[in-house]
Amino acid sequence: MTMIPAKLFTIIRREYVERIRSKWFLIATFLGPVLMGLFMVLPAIMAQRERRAESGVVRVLDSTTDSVGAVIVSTLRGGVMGDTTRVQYRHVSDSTAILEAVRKATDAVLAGELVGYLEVGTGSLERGTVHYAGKNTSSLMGMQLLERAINRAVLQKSLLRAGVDADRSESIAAAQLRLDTERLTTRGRGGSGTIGMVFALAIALTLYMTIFLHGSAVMRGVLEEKQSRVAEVVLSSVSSDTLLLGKVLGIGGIGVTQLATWVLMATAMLRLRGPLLAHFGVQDAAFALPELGLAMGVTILLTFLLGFLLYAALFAMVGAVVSTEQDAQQAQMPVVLLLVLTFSMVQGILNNPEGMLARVLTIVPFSAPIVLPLRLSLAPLGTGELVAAFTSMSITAVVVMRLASRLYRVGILMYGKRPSLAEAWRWIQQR
Amino acid sequence: MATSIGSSSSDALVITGISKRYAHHVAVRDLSLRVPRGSVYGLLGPNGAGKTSTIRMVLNIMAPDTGSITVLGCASTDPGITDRLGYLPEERGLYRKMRVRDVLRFLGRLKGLPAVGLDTTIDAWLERFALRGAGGEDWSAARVDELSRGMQQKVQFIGALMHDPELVVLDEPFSGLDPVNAQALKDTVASLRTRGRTVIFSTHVMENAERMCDAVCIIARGDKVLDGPVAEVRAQHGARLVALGFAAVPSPAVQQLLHDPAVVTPPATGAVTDALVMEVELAAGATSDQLLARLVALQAPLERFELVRPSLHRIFLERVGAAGVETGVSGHG
Repeated sequence: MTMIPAKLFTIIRREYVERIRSKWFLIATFLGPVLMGLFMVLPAIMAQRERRAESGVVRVLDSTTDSVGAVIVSTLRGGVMGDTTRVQYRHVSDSTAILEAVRKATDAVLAGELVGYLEVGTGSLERGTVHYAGKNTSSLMGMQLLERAINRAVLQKSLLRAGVDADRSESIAAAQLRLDTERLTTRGRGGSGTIGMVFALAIALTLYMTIFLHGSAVMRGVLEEKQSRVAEVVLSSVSSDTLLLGKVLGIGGIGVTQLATWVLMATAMLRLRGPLLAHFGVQDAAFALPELGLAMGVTILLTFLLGFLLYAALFAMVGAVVSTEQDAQQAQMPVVLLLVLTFSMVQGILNNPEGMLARVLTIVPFSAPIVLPLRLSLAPLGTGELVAAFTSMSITAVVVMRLASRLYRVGILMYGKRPSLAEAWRWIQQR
Repeated sequence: MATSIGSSSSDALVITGISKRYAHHVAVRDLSLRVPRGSVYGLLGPNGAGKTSTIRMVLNIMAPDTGSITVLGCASTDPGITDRLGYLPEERGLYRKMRVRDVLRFLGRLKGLPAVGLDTTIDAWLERFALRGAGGEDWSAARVDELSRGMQQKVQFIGALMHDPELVVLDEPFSGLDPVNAQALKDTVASLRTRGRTVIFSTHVMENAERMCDAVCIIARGDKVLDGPVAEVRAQHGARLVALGFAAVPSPAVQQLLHDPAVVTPPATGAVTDALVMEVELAAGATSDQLLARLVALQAPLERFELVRPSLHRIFLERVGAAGVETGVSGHG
């Protein structure tokens, strides 16, 4: 009996070593995260570039008596020592001068010398509105900055008029708040809003891709052994169960290796993200990933293994009944659909992680491998739900694996026409 | 090498009443046969006769619906038995993207060969099949799909034989072989027999079987037609044919004798002419001794008087008939 695990190991080893040596594995494993990293860094760089490009020169036309415009300018310049070239200041005394200044500023905008101009007058401040005209009015960021600067200047002047001294009125007006979001659920506090969501999505996407990629690798492996007829040689040394199990475990090992590599690379990249962005002159946003505890890491790994086992068995069934690549493309559709459908539900689950849809899909064995980790990374789950999810996944994985192995045993030696469902069922029942 | 504990039987293979049924046809019907240890055994039959199905059941690649198989004294389902068997399937195939050495290592490990010393074994086999060393190119590091078909066949032979199996099963080993490799295969089989190994091979080419086998089994459409040692089979079918050779055209008396229905079956097999060489079939009740005595009495100018043992091919055609050859359904052969 001691011979059997040794042979299983031989099968696993071949599947693992041959695949890990292939250039596709290297490309997928190392280029994948580089691309993902680029997607993380590029938008920030591009946004920064854009902001610079569109924040050309703004001219402030100030007709107030207490120089509210001057305060706006200094705020926009980022303090007294700020960049003086990007904001121009014009003081205009009377209404005819304003008309003239507006006409000139309009010409300058149209000529491309200015990006826009801001009209600040006593009358307009009393009405609570300030007029801005320019090319960049659709830039949310730019308008927000402008609005903030104006409000701050007006507040500062109002405080001065109310008798607060200059220094204090400035510091009061300069006070700024940032909204810090945290997700609150019935089971406690979970990661912070947006970042937690992005993180959960990344986990779901990674699991989806890994299960898909390596599951279909099992199918292609089975098909290759069928097409090359090598299966028969191997089956004279080991049982079909051993061959299938070895294949699934070997390819699963590749999946785990890839996931582990990605986790390492992601960790390294998060560390490097700040310096890398700084290199391009972008300031890194405060970016703290939700803590991924050991228990949760193990749970996610276990989910991946069960999910992979389940889908690998389904894909193996497809591989066992087909004889050509084209056949395989068609026959794998139901399996692929199960995965794609699950992934298409991810948005809905992100919107309402405690909702009915989320709860049901956590227990359905075909969606659980993606939905469970997704929800777990948003907020901790109750023991009941965890037990239900794992039970359903385990039972289904074992049942499907057994069915696959019976189908595989017959199918691996059958070449030619793809069997109908009834015929496939007969194969499963065959002695 | 594993020793055959508990197998006192002198048979390498005993098949008892196995049947295999597929959805639309019966591949093997109640087949029984014995293969003595140390013999070369031919499983003969047209395509679709059930040869491959039988072989797959012997190797426990699939299970028979009924009946039992004992291989080297053990049940064929015993997982320990596979290391003592070597198998060359009809449909040859290797992992195309793997290197030759890696494939052989893999196959060797699957047959229970220890990792230590495996490379030495592989090198010896590669050299023996001219895939390595002695001024030739070293193909051990080449990928399988870089090899010619002939070389791939050799690698597959090595895979089937490198663990020195006690029983070697070759399914249609000559199909696709060029004459040089076919001869190499015959030599290999001969040397296996010399070393006391048992070889079972299936073929539909009777000439090969006749020259190489000690015993044969002919099956057609899933049924056993006959089996036994080649000499016995031929003797059973061959006692009625006599080949005659004359130094001169035989006298009318001799001609008359050869046309006597009491002595020679009328539509004589090799039509009796006034040729010097002919083949006649003895009539029922007549014996070769009587024929010889009467020919001598007539002073026929005999040069040759030989009891012809029909070729397996002839027996095969006689017993199976054209219809049996016709029903070639490949795949479940």
